[in-house]
Amino acid sequence: MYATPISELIDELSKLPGIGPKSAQRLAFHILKTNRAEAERLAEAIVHLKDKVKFCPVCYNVTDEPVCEYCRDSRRDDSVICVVEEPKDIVAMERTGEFQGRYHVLGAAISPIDGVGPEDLRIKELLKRLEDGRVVEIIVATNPNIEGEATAMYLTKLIRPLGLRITRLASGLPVGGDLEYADEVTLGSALRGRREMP
Amino acid sequence: MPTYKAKAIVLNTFKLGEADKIVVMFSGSKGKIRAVAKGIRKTKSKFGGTLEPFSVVDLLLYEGKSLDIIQQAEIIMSFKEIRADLEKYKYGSVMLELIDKVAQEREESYEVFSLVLAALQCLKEADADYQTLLTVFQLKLMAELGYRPHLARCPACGGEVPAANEQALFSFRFGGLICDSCRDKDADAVDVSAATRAQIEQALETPLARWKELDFKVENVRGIARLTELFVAYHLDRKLKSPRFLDM
Ligand SMILES: [Zn+2]
Ligand SMILES: [Zn+2]
Repeated sequence: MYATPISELIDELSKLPGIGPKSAQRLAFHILKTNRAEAERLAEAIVHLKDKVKFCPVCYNVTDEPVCEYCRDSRRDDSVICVVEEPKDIVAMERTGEFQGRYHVLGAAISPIDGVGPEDLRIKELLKRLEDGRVVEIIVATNPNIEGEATAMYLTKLIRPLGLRITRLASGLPVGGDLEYADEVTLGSALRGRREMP
Repeated sequence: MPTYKAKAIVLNTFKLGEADKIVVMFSGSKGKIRAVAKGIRKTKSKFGGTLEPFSVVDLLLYEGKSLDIIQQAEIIMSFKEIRADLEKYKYGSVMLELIDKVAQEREESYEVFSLVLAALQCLKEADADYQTLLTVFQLKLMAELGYRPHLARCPACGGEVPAANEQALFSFRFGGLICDSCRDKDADAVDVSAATRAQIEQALETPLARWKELDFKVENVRGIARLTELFVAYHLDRKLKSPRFLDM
């Protein structure tokens, strides 16, 4: 067994997504070998992140301002909201340079088998944003996988009765992939070729 | 590294590292298989959409130390009709979760594999009444696993159960209808109506593919579904996550 400070760090690191015990051990020993200043920068960066970065109260993107940059920008189109699963998907959409509307981050996708249902997503918050009647189109840009599709179908069932246009990114996106890995050309054409939800 | 082939249905997937996924599958030859699909989350991955839940695939796998690695996956049936319909998807999710909970690794399970394939085929073709289909599937799955409900004789004492036209007590502990003199042996036994008794019996006798012939009365579907769910929960000893979303 390792000395307590090492196993404590290994424990914490292995709680991170995608980090198994082996990787956690490798990272812990890497940090042990780096000099003190570097280790402090890492620790500080983590604490700063928790202190400074908050969720935007409008769209739930991450931001270090009271309201995020996309919600603040008065040149953006209020009539279209692009709904994504995670803040990193906004980055992917912005790379295309083709979307000028607003965003809404759900925070997850529906997956009954994993115990994730509609109430675990920021759907009530989305419906609230539709109340003033300014929004005419919802673009559902959830991942092109089974959970993303289920989320899109659920949102359609919920929002269609409000008389809004609901569209989904075109099928040019390969099924099973993550939106964040789509190149901007593919994602851009998927956005332009978006189709009405059935 | 040694390789092996398997035909399996994808139950669930979990993200792993930067761009990989752990794919949880169920096969007839090896029971549950947990394997890594490398690079699958990249949009140019060779796997494309082949390893999404509900897909039935032909696999070539490397045997790894802890997790096997998927070398090739070819789709046999996608069941995309289930994925493309929110209602079917919800009921199908309960079927997959059930299999995920009961399946063991390295355990030949050809009968259960055929049963789940048949159930998904029925769900794909169905246009209503998914709850009935799910209930029949659950009963048949329990029977396949050795928990076929005892309906003819009291499993606690071997005695007579109340006549078929009467209501009776169903005991989860004893796994079936118990007689009046055994009612004190299980305080948790629940009353079941004569109609529900008849329907459980019918469901067990009818092949799954002919489930539509079962004349479950609408007002009774919920009752028998609830009973079956409790029965499954009792034997699984674990709570399923997906059924509470059936109403979403
Ligand atoms: Zn915002
Ligand atoms: Zn008895």
